Amino acid sequence: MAVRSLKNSTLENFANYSSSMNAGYSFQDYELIESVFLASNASSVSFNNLSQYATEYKHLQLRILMRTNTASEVGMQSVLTLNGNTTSSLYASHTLQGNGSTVFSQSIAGTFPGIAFTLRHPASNGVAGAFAAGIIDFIDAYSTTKNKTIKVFQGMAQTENNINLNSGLFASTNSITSVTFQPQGANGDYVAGSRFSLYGIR
Amino acid sequence: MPKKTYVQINSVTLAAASSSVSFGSIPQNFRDLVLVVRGTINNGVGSIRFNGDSGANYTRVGMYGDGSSAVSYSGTSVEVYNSPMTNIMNIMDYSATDKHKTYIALDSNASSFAIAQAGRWANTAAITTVAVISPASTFTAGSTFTLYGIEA
Repeated sequence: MAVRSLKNSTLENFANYSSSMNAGYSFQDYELIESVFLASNASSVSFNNLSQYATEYKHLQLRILMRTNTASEVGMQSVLTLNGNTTSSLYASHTLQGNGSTVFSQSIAGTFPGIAFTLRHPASNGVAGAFAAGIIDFIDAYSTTKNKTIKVFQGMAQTENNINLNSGLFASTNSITSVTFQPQGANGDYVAGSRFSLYGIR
Repeated sequence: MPKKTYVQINSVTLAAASSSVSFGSIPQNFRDLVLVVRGTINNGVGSIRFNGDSGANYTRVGMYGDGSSAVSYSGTSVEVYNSPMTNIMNIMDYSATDKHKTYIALDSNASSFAIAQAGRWANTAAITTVAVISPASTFTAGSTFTLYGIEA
């Protein structure tokens, strides 16, 4: 069973994979690996020990719904760290975003300890009940011959509108073993009601 | 017994033009819904309604490119369909009762636009009905509408 790491939180977990490790189990092409549902705030969310899925899946996908308790949501985003590697020079990202009036593009490399622009999300001053939705694809997550590329599609329609297409680079040919989300600059916690679901794709 | 994660709930192919297609009594045992629409509208745009709500409870933000410019927009309805379209809409945590309902959608209109959009239905009720409507026109015969559920 994958070990989930959460700091300063209580949570409800569902790990599908452990229940599937019965003799005769047949893996599906698109399968839930595990979900994290926050019952209280968490400063970060991690999925660890992902190497155990390397022989079963080719790609990974995260489906996310989340917000934070940061005071202001202006520019609020999450940073995605892979394999616990916080070497900023290994990460780059490009984003195409719309805010309801303007389309803009940004690129960043070597600045954050992970892939930036992955998730923009509401904060304490956002519309109550509003969460940001995102789908993150890790293509060829277990390749040992390719650098890792992720694809992000994310958006929220509330006080700060945002629609975001993002590509991220982790310049490492190592197989993905863990994924960690944290608000940029450790600024705030993910709030209760946020949810992170990991799927394997064959 | 293998557990299917990505499951087709229902699918409709129009035998004749229709101004709306509705999926009702949606099972509540999934986490997300995915609505895939491939179709043509005779005139105008198409919209989404949840649980029959036609009130001013929707907001959206999007961006599109038309081959010469990129535009971002916002609005107060869930207009997601420009004809002809292939639209994939992910409706997240549709059965939750502690949050508004958020969707993200990609719309490919080969003759006009490439669109990405996010939206919110300002209601904490679980979604039990999804209706795709074209208030000013009709979806043409042959248009397909498929609803999937994703476990979590």
